[in-house]
Amino acid sequence: MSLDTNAILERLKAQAPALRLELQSGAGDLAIKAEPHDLAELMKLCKSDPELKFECLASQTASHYPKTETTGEHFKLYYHLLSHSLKHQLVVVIEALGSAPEVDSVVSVWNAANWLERETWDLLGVSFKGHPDLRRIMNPEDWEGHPLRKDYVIPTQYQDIDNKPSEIAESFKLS
Amino acid sequence: MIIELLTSVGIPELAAKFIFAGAVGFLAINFIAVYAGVVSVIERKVAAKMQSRVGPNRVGPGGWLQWLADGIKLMLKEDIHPHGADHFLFNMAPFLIVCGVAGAFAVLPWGPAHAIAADLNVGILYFISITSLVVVGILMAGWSSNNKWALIGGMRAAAQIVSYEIPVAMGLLPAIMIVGSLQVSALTESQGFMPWDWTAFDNPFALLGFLVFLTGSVAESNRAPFDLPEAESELVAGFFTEYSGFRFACFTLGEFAATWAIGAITTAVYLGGGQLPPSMAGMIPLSIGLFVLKTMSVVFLLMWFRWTLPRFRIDQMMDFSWKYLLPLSLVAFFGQAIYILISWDSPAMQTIVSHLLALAVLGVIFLFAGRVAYNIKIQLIPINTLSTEIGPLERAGKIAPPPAVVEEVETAEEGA
Amino acid sequence: MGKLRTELMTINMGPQHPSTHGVIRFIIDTDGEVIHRCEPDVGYLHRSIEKITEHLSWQGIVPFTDRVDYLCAMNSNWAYVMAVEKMIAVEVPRRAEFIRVMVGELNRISSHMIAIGTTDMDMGAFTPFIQLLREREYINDLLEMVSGARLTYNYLSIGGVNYDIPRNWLFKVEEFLNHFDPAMEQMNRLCTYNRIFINRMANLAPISKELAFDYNLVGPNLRGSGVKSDVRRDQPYSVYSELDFEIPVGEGFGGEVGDCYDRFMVRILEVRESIKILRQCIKMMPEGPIQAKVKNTIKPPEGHFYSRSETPRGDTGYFIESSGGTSPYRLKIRSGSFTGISITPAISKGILIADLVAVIGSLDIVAPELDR
Repeated sequence: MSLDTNAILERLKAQAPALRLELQSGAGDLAIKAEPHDLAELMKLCKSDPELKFECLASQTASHYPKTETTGEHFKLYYHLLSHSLKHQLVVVIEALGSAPEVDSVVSVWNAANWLERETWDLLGVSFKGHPDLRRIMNPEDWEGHPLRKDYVIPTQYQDIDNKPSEIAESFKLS
Repeated sequence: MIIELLTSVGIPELAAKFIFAGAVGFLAINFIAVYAGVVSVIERKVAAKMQSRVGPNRVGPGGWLQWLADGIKLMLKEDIHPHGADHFLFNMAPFLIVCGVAGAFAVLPWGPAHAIAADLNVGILYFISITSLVVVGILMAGWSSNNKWALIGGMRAAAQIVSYEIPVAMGLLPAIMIVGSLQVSALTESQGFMPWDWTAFDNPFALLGFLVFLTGSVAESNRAPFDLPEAESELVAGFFTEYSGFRFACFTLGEFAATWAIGAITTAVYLGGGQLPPSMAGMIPLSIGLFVLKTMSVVFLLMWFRWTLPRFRIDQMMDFSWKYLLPLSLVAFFGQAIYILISWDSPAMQTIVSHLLALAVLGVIFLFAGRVAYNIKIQLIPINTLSTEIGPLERAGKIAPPPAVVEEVETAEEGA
Repeated sequence: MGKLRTELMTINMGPQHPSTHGVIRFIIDTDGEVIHRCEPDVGYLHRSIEKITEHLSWQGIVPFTDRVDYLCAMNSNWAYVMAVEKMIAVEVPRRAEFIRVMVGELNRISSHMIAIGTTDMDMGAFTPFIQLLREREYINDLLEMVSGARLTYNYLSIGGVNYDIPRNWLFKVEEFLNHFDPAMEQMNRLCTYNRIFINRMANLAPISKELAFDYNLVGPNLRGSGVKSDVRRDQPYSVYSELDFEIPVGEGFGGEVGDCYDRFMVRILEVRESIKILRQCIKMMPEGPIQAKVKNTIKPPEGHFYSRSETPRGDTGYFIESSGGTSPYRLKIRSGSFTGISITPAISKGILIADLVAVIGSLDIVAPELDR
């Protein structure tokens, strides 16, 4: 039987009262917000619980929030879980603080997380504890920086290849 | 005959033999070059037809001189040696392959049964052994290129050719047993013009031997579905990955020349050679024409295989040889022996069996042709016809006319 | 005689190998021809589309989604515009929905043509590939009639489609289907039911249901393992809930459930279902507007959205995080090829080099979609 996010949250709270979970509601998808140190346990529970049965990690990604006046630099990690047998899905949001945070890897739960976490590490610089093979995946091995961070500066040179924007490109640049 | 002519004008016999051999070799090599060129255009045209394409159509009338352009281009190309290659073997391999194939042309007939460059009394044995030289060339090419793909290709080729050697040789045995000779001219001469006089349709076991021989030959010449040594989607280009220019042309030359060799030996041994009906005996051009027609039919069959069938996998290919073709060729061999024992003194039985078999094969061909016609009919279902254009549909009332366009010209003028 | 010292041979398959379908590199350790380890190395086609989109307006991203997966640009367009429509809550007119279904299914057929054809070609049968390309040309013609382009269409817009279909288009589609239906059967007789082909593909690299879930396979690859899962049915979007079609799953057509032949056959059967859907759409196509009213400057509310849609490569997820601005704060495309290729190390132990080619072909990996 498929459950909505509220019911899933109830179920999770009943199964593991120690986890600090809260419902995050807004204009977008409903999500469950969890603490970074609870991540591995929460994911294991989501997969093994007979009423949740999330067999798949559909997507894993993150977004970068640079330091502002009110908040410090932090990352939001999104885990999209999917159950093919019960036809329901769940979004889990994690807030990781710091400029190079480290969170638990979920590769031991789903192998699909292997490449997704590699991609998140490569593009955003969030590292994963316990990942078997955390290397760059999209960028070359000797690339510096993590391109999808908001404070990323596009390099003007890579291995003697000139990457300065041309005059034409400059003239079209959005202000 | 020519040697006798030469000695009669005072040339020593040994010199005369060398002159004759040189002349024949020159003719054979030139024939191979021209044939390989022309048949490469034919193959591309056939493939294009099968794939609803146009094919080569630029050089010469209808694209028929494409092979000259290709040949000239390949000769003018730079001859690249990969770094770390074994130069001596790398240079020698393509020529060894051409030698292996060209050597086979010594015992191939050219129409009438006795028109053979060297009518050896062990002709068939010579043919089987000289074509094996190719495997040495391929292995050398694969090893000396210093390329892993080429090495795998060479290894595959060695395994493949060595395994298929046996069914090919065994497949020829029924014919040899029927005639009782290894001489190519004798094998041809024992057949007649009509299909039921051909060795292939002499009895079911001869037919089986013929099929085994043909299949094995396809494998031995590395053509699809047995083109594993040069499998382009797996091994880039197999053993000749690193070759360019004229050396590359030599590989192509060898491959296409091998198709003729297979076609000619199949025709001579199993399909009646250039034998004419008794009433037309002695008409040499006609005999040559018939022989070329039959040979090219076999070559066309090889092309047909190539552009229709998917490729085997290496283990399946070996299985096919050792588990199926070899037992089948043994069945053909022993069956033929038993059949000869039974039908030794009943010509009537021989006649009935061969006639029935020829008719049955013709029937199968007719059924197949019907299937081909059905497939062609499907291809002809029209598309993008006039009946789906806007005009005819509007006139038939199937679509409504477009809403009236508001004339904005007048308002524009008023504004002005 | 002493024991021979042997070692594994490391071969680079790619990035410029004829059968890696684009620019993917496989580092394989082989013992003769048997693969001991296979490691895909991707990223050669990374064009940082996700980064570029952070500087574009919401409408301006649509042409970039064409380039994410150029074999099914319509479906990529659709996946993206659906995500944005979900964010700004726009009701798409009914005629536009039907047009979207039609172009999407046509593009699904043309994408599967390439998948089937290249698999045939990797198996050494060249003719089916060319024949299927010819059929694909007709689909390109049809899509050119509606959008003006043949590969990257940029046809779908947020809230509808950019142009109405030509007046005779439905007749053209029907004519094409009448031609294509028997032609596809003929192609199956030529290669799909060929004994050599089945022997090559059947029982090769079977993926069990659990393994498929574990690596999050999607679309035909997942259905090949016998899982009846299709976004068009699980979360019906557009007008798919009104249409009648089956979801083909792998049943062990040639041997084990979930082998390469099953994945291949699922695509063949899906083409038939697409034909069925198209025939229904021709009958049901309503009249009306093709574009909902959408503001020129779109400013979606703050929040994150994940939208799934069924492209030929399977369940493609567009994750969009919006900060309420005129361009996305973060856009992530989770593509079917990405998960498809991540499973290759797990299933390619102990198979031959020639089999690896078949595995890549049967997983239908498209390099640009994988690297984005």
